[in-house]
Parts: sequence; C-alpha cells; structure tokens
Amino acid sequence: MQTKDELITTLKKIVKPYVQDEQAFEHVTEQTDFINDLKINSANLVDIALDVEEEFDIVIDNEAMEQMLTVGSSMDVINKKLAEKA
Amino acid sequence: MIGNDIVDLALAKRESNWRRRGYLDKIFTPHEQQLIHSANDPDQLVWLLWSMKESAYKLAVRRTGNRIFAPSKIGCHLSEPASETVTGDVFYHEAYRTKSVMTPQYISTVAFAANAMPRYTQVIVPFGTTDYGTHQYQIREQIRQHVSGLFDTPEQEILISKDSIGVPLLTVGNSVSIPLSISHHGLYGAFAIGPSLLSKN
Repeated sequence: MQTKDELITTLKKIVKPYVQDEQAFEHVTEQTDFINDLKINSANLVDIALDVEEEFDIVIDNEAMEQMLTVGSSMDVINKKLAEKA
Repeated sequence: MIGNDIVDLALAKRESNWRRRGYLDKIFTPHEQQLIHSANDPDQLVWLLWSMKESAYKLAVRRTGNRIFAPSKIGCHLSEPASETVTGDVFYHEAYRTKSVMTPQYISTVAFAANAMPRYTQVIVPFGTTDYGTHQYQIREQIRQHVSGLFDTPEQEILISKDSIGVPLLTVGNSVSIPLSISHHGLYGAFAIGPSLLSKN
C-alpha cells in the first residue's frame, strides 16, 4: 500500500501528459480539479481512468470514474478499489 | 441555456486513442458503439458522438449544478445519417437536442433543451497558436467584440466571469445576462450564446 504522498506522486505522473496548465500542476493539492484547474480535456479523463487501471491493476467501473474529477476524489477511488482487491 | 463543444480532429487523432482497450466502454452505450463500428468513418463518428455528449453534459451541469462526469449514461441518437450538419437527440436525465457541424478540420456541437427553440449563435474561432492562455484571451476578446456589436455597447461594459463550478457567465452592463458556453480544443475555439435574459436585479 502506498502512502498518501506516494499516491499523489504516482497520480501526478499519470496525469502529467494531459495537463494544459503547467503552473497549476506545480501546485497540485488534493483539492486540485482536473478540468477547472489543470485544464485537462474531458476526453482525457477517460485516459486517466484507463492509466490508473493499468498502474494499480484495478478496475475503474463507470460509477467510480464519475467521481474522478479532482486529485483527492481520485485518490479515494484508488484506495477503495485497492482495498476491495486486497 | 446552452452547452457547446468543439473537437479539433487532428489533435483528437494525435492525443486520444479511442481504439485503446476499454476506452469505448467507458464513454459509449452499446447502441453508440454499434454506430461507430458500422460507420464508414469511425473516427468521425467517435468525435461526433463525443461532442454531442460533451455539449449536453455542459448544459446539464448548468441546469443541475452537478458536475458528475458519466459519459456512458448520456445516450445519443442521430436523427439522420452523419453529413455536414447533423441533428441529434441526447438523453441525460432530460431530453436535449443537438446540432453539429462537421468539417474535415473540426466538429462543433451546440446542445439545447429538446422543448426549447434552438435560438443561439455559434462562432468558430481558429487559433494561430497552441498556447492555452492565448486561446482563453483570444476567445474572450472575440466574445466581447461580438456582443458589443450585438448590443451596441462598449466592450468595457461586457463582463465574462465564471461561477464557483466553472460555468461562464456573460453580462452586458448591469441589467442583461446572456447564456454563454465556451469550448476550445487544439487550434479551434468556439463560443455559443443564447438569447439574452433580463437579470433579476
């Protein structure tokens, strides 16, 4: 199980290729919003969900993907899915 | 109220690999996936359906204030075979109608409530740069110019702001508010404005 800091670092690595606002990306917190803050294209939210599935070997169903609008809510989804798997 | 979306087809091709395993299932209903797989130009259909969903989603966010992102729950039907202009029906808790324009360079869609008259103006803004900040600036310049002409009002009196969930707001002077939706992708921007409303204050 990754610590909170490790999880943010992994998530940042996944999200980085899709970020359009680099300045906001330098100051990512759990409240950071993928669309409103990082200006990520919504079609790429689907890529992020798929990348998260591959990285953590979990399944992000569509109900879970619906929640993945911020860094913090994505961390919650990942932790929940990892806990279900364990 | 309206919602709009534009897809730069060249950028979509470079950046979004819809053939990636699992991608279509996360966005499209079985009916839509069938449309895509039987299309002459599957790329075009993917982005047409996407822009229908995205524009209806934006409209739904304005109506409900709920930002939950559930593309596979937004159901699209085309009222006619895909051609340069396409009318579609979109259902997402409520019935919406969409009008799309397809060119070899981009697909742009405007969504409105199915029971409303489709009274809107959409303007496409081609960009000379890929810089996001420049796009935001240029498109707002164009909106101010457009609305300034429409209302015969100086540009300084036209305010474009955002509410707490990121929905753009357009006001002219202190008395008129106008439904506005903005989209940009790659080298193309688009804005759609609806008929003006007299604000309550």
